[in-house]
Amino acid sequence: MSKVSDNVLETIKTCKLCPKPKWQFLLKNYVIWSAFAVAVILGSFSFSVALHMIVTGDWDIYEYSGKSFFEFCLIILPLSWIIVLGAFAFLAFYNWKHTKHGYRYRTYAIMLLSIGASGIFGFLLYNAGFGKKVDAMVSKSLPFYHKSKDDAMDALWLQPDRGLLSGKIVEIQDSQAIVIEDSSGEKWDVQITEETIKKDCCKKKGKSVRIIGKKGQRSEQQKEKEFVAREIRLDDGDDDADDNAFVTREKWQEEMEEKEEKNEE
Amino acid sequence: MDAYQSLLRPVFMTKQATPTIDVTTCTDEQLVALSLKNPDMYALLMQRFEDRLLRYIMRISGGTIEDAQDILQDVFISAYLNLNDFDQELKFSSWVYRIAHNKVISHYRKVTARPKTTTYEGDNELLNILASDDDLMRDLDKKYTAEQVRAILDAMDERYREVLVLKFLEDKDYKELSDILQKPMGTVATLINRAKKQFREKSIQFINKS
Repeated sequence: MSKVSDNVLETIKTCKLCPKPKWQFLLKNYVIWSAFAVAVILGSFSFSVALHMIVTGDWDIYEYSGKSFFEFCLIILPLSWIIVLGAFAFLAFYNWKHTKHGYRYRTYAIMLLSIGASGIFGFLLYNAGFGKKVDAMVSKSLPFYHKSKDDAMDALWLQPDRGLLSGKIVEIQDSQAIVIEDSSGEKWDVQITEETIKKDCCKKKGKSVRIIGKKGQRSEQQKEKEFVAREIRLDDGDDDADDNAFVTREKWQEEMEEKEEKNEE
Repeated sequence: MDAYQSLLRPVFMTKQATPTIDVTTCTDEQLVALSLKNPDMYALLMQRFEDRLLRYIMRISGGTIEDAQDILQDVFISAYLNLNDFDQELKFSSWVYRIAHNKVISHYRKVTARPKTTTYEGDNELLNILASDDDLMRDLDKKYTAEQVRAILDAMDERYREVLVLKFLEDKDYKELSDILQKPMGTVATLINRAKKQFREKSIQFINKS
């Protein structure tokens, strides 16, 4: 036997070295595969939220926005969720690469696999309504996320000179007028005409709405600014939205008429 | 009781002959299994790989023979400690070469000065081997000494040098290269092509200098 072999054998016997137990390697493999699976699952949730936000985004107001298409996309697209999806895809790739045979596959193949898997499961989660639920849950838990969504909304919808307005309903005067307060604290007297399209039914105090219309003239007596609504949309991500409290236009009109009668009495 | 036992002994207590294993005919993978039970068996595995691993370490890193022997010792100890992690789907030689490759990289990351490489018999044949493998090399003059070939290899990028050594001097196939370097086979093929190109460029530069 050579010197090297002798030294190694002597070291093994003197230091009483033993091969590491098999369970350690098995455990390591299980942990890596589990981390890969978790990354794909979390990526799926991110995909479902991103898909929900893209599908419910206000793409049709591009013509009113006065912004370039690139700027408009930057506001509308859920960039934070796309970045999160990318991060989880990278994590999945990293874990795959550290599996026993992960090195045999090219980088692009593994990234495609992890994004593809997240995409498929994410689509299923979106269809099951998890996209909206996760978005609402994150909005409640992370104030800065909620604020960033509001800021994006304002960047797009708080342009009254361009006929775009958003805010919370603070007063329902009658069937033709509501008062909303925008994010800067300004109050708006919104006129509802016969031609006004109410996309998602109607009004309860505290609901967030988005309005397409035209900025009106304000007289000296009026405290609030005037806005004539052509279309009113309910804010889908409204935290105060009570789905069970939705009323149809006819029911809302009935309630307004009853209220007016009570006031007269 | 003694009489009872003496009656039963021939039937139940006969010592069975221990089967003998001819370890010289065992495959590397069989020796791994035996080494897990008996460290002395590991000495046989080391004997099988010692020379070629030492040559491989010297070829890709250079340095003194003492440095290379130290690295080789580390390689064998690391391989012994991780024997239970040996993947039966790989050849043992690929697995132990992989450990050697990783040890050399980590050892020479700590050393700032670039060591000189060492020549071995047969290294001057590298050009012939490359030429028979690739049209690019056919027009190169093949009458280089081993030292000249080593000088060319020395001037090459570390990754390309290593892949040329493994493919053409250590005679590894693409799958073994993939297992040793832990890269996809497609990447290995690309590395070999680039290595050959760089070897050719360095050879031409060498010719022009001399």
